[in-house]
Amino acid sequence: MEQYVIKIKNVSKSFKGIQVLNDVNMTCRSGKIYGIVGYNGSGKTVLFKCICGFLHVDSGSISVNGKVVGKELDMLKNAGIIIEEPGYIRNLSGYRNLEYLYRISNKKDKAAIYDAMRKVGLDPCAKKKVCNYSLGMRQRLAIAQATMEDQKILILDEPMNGLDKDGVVEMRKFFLNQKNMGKLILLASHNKEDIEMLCDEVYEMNRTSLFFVHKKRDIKQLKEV
Amino acid sequence: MAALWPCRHAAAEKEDVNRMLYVRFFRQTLIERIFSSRTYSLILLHGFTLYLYMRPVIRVSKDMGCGAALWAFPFLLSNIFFLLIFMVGIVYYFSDVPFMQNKNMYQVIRTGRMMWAAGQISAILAQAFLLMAANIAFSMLLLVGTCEYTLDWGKLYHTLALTGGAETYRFLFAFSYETMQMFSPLELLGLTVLIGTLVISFIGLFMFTVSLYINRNVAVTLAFLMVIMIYLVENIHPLLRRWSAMFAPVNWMRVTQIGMKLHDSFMQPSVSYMLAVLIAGITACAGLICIKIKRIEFQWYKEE
Repeated sequence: MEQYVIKIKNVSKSFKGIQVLNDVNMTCRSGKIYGIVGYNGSGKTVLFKCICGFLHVDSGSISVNGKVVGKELDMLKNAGIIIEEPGYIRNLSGYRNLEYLYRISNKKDKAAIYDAMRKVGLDPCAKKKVCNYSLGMRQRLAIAQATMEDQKILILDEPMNGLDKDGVVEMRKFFLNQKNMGKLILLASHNKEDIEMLCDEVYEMNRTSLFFVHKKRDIKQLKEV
Repeated sequence: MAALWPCRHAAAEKEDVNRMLYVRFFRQTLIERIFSSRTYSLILLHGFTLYLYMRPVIRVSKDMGCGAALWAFPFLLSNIFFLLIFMVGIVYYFSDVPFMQNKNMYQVIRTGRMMWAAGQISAILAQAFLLMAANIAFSMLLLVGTCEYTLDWGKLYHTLALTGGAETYRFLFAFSYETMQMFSPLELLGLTVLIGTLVISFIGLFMFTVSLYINRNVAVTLAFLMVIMIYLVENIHPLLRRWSAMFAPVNWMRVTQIGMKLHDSFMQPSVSYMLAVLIAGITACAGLICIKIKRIEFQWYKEE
């Protein structure tokens, strides 16, 4: 399986003079889950958007296997992403939404989409339109969207949002399974338990946008943010 | 030399993959747009307006016992009120520019910036053609049962153009005898589709461009102003009409005015002028869109 290394080097980003990311450094490798914790508005989502290539960094660089995002790489193509509130074509069913996205870069493969939906606990045959989905179902659909094409890099911003207790347990198992398949996972969460159970390394983003690293053994000591 | 072959092969393969990705994304974007609530609303608006305008034709055709030819649409489009409603619908249709709702994020990550831009531009062009084709098809469909299958204008339209029958039946538009003399039905219909497709494409791409460089509200406002300019052209001093018509692309959809004179002055610019300006406008907008998308910081917003 191809190995991926994401290197974030001295990245800074500001909006209208307000510094959001300041000299951020981080290195991520395949087969690990990297947790990012921090207060609302601390810049987690901005960092994820910069990694994906949706936003340009002011200084520093983000590279994937040596290729700089925004220069040699247009964007982090074919990464599985959940950033902010998932968006769908509201008048279509969950299956149709996934099929629509799947067919952008693949031939039609009903089995792959069915499999992805079943893995996150959704019924692919259900005709229910996405506009009638609960928050939890939308979140599950977003996870299916992020993993259905066997994406090797997953960038997940609060992926457990809106899930019930059982759903959270199921998804934790699912993400650990993805990690064991050798995927590189970046996970932002406010939930201490998610971080403790899933992440190999945790980075904390504070208001001044500085990063503190916690290895797996230190995670339990990490205060709740 | 031999060492270059694998390189060339890889480049050709990459090109093929990109072409396939483009075709797939274009197809998917078009499907998404066609089966959207905006399309359904537009179908209702255009369908109802067409029905209202075509009703007198059906009535007079039945009363006179004389079939109506299928080529009424260009005359409808030349009516200022019909054109206004038609184009307001078009502006509404494209008012979701710059297509950066949360759902579009999942497309961009799969296609990359330039492919996404190319897909959106192509979809606008295809939508413009489909809108024109659908409207013409519906105007023909309304006449089924009372129509006359002919490649000529037919007796009914000639009669309506030369007599006061249109007034008696409260027609909301006029059949022009001069236009019927100047163009064959297929020529006029072809010109309507061509100019109409280009104008709608231009409006859509113009809105997309302005929404990227300024914002959506400005894009919608400017598009409305462009539509309302048809009133300016209609009501301006006759000597200034041709001059003002040069800068009102929406007015060019009134193809039955092409070659017509009012106070010794042509009411519309020449067809070659229209085509040149529209193609240049579309190309410029497409170029500006690509430049902006290459550099833009994507800010996604929630669905409406």
